[in-house]
Amino acid sequence: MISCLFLNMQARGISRTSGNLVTGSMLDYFIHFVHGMERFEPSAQKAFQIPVVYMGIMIGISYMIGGYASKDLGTSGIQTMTRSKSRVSWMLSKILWNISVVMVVFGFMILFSMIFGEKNLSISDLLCQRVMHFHGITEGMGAASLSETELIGRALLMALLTSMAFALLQMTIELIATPVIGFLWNLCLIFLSAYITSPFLLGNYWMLQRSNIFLENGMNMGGGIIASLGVMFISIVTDLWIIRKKDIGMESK
Amino acid sequence: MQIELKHVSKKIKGAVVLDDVNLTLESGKVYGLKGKNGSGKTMLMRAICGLIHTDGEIIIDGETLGKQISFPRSVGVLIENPSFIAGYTGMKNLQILASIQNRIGEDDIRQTLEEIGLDLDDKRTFRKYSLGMKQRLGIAAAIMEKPDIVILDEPINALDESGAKQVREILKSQKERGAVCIVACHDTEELKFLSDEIIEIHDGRIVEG
Repeated sequence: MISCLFLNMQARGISRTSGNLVTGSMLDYFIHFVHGMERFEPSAQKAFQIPVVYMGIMIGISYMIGGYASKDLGTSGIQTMTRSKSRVSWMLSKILWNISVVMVVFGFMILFSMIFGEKNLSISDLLCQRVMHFHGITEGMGAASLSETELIGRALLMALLTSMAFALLQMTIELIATPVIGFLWNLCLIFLSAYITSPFLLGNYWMLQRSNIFLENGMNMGGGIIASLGVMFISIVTDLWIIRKKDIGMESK
Repeated sequence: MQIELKHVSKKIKGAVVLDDVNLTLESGKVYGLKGKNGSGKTMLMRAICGLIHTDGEIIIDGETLGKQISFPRSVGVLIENPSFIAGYTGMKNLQILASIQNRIGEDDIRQTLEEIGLDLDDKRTFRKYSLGMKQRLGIAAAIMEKPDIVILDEPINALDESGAKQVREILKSQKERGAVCIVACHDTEELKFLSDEIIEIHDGRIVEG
């Protein structure tokens, strides 16, 4: 919502200064959520600017899911497990909960984009360039023969899958180590993904500006899907293995 | 119902928390676990519940925990602080837990709440419960499905005299219906009062049985 309010204020400002009415479509608002940041090249002239929206959403999700599974395991989890007689069912319920949280966050992102934006899928180059520092979006789409619908689908899929992978990975680390370490791990990964453009840092796939449509040698969608699903698969398999071996109720010790 | 513990041991980070525990627990009895903090009482309860992996064998009615069964087939547990969904009433919380096994209905839950001394029509959420009420709800969750094994860790914590009296009554009724009851309590006098048999634990070892 803060992201939408910010874009709305910026659009009003641009309208005032340029004399043209710039309102922003719902696609503009959604792009504002997932645009991320351009490739950062460390230099003496250019300081690193934190991509506030990307980091805000990712850290927000991380904070929401952080500690829940671990805390539940030592408290209510004992009640549910001794009744269901299954550690695996408990774990699967937490995985499902984790994925649901991410989906709810994205649901709100779409909802706020629809509330704030004009009900069309046109892209405002002016907003993208001036507010998001996202240059050449329409040229990039033209070169890739990508329609607005395809762009929104692509952006949504990549950000959603990457966020789910981050969330599941955090829960796995939390179960192996502690909730704080899980959170810090994610924090580092989120930050490093913004700082370094690399296919090995998952957050790069989240950011639309880092996609190979808009960035030379940028992130490939297929690679992003495989990387995210791979991380999710490994996390789930590890979770199920850990829960079978774990001593339960020792979390507070 | 019989629970047999054979050479049960547990080490955590190199420290022995259960040391060659051998016990036989039978239905219709209340066993009181006595011992200092960190002596292994709660760990022993966790082991019987199937919550921790141990060396040795825990056999419940002929089935070995961790081999034939992951958890006892019928167990009610209150270990440490009772925890429920904070935004729901006590009744709603118990209904959710009961829905997992679907063995009891609303009447059974109401009867249990009455037995433990909680107001059936209390609209307060768990968040607003006092410590004593939380403890009562924890005990209610442990006994509502009339399990074959009842495990209560410090059941009279945070309870007033009337609450403690209700716990005594509850344990008596659980014993009469044939459950194996295992209770840990700091108060030695209270434990003597509650239990048919006292099991003393010192540094993870059974001292007296």
